[in-house]
Amino acid sequence: MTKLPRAAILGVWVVALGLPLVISANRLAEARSELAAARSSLVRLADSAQRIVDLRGEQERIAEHKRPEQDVIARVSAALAQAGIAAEHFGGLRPESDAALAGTGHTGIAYRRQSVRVSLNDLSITQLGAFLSQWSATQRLWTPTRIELTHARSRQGSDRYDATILITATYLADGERR
Amino acid sequence: MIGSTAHDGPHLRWPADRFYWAILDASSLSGRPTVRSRRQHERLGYLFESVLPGVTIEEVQAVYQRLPGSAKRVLACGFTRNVLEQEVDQYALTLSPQTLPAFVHERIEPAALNLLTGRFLPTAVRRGQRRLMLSIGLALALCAILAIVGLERRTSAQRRAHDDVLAARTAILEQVLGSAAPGIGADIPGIPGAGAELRLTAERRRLEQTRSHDVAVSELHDSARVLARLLGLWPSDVPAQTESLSISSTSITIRAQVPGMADAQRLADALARFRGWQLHQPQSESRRDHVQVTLRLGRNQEQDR
Repeated sequence: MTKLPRAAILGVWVVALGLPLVISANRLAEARSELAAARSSLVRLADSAQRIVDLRGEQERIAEHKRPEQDVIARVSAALAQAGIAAEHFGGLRPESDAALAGTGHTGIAYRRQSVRVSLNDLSITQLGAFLSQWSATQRLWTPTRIELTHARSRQGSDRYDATILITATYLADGERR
Repeated sequence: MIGSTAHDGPHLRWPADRFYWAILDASSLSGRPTVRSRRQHERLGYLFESVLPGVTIEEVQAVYQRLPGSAKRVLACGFTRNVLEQEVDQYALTLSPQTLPAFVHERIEPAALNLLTGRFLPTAVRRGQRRLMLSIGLALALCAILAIVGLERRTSAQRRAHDDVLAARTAILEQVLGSAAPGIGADIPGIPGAGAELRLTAERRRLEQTRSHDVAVSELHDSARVLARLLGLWPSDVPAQTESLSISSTSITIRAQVPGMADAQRLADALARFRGWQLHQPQSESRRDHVQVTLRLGRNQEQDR
């Protein structure tokens, strides 16, 4: 066996052994890299998921979009019914204002506030309290920001009142365009 | 150069005078005067040929040994190939001079000058070398195979772990977005899971925006709670007929009819204890059969929510 064939055989031998070794090592490095990236992504995902679960457990404080008048009427009617107050006491609803919330938007999120005036007629203080209690428990988006009670003239001497309640909700300004 | 021969088993030791000898000046050769490389061996052969008496280097089996010392001097030892072919039997493993010639003063082991190399390499040695090379090759192949198997097993374990991570990821997405939520399977081409992840990010953003803890944004003055607390302070022993009551974020105004001034005062005293609110000067007006009282409260700096 001459020197040249021996060197050639050695070269072939080295390549035959070394090439699969290098390929396997590369595959392992690639798998490790992918696993590390997947684990890192999983950690971020789990954090986000936990944050979402936590947020879902919290009360919604801000609406995603402006509530239409019909929606508010339905909510008031539902609260009246749940408080045991007849629907005839519901005197009507009137949109009051809808304006951008000052000082927001610098974080990239702009908010607006809409206010609606709800009229309830001929309620006793107990009924009013029941309604407000029910409203506060179920309608966290809408806050009674102004309450005006006027003694009901129709029943002189009775302890009943006409109530005008201004309810206000904050919503995402982006939601208005949706 | 001709003398008697001696056998030491398979190791032949022939008298030094049967060999061609020379001390070569290798300083003209580039690099270290090693005698192992084929190229260096050829160059030394040309130098040796110049001192060979009437024979060419091709006719002589030569070996070279670097002499100790700083000078690049090489001891050349040769033997006629024809004679080697005739006199060396097949069982010989080495052939070297018994002694060194007198002009060589350096201490060199004569046995190191083995002439049975190259084409004269004994068959047994050649076979042994092949067997050794084959063993080394097989050992290397075995090591390589074991290493590859180990690497592949690790790769496989990494892939399984990767699959587990993806399964955990899908489980989280299903748990948060729902199994039927579009986006779990509908990914952006080339980015596995990106669709669902985008949905998750959008959901988180939506929730963060609608459940803001920013008081300035989300907190509104709750007049219902103020009314409840106000009625809690209302004195039960004052026979008052409330005509109107107005509550806003900054003020409370009460207009009521009471039987007398003392009742108006008691009502004012009771509402003056409303924490977070400041009672302004009550206004009272005596009518024919009652007292008309107007009470105004303003919100304090220390606001009561």
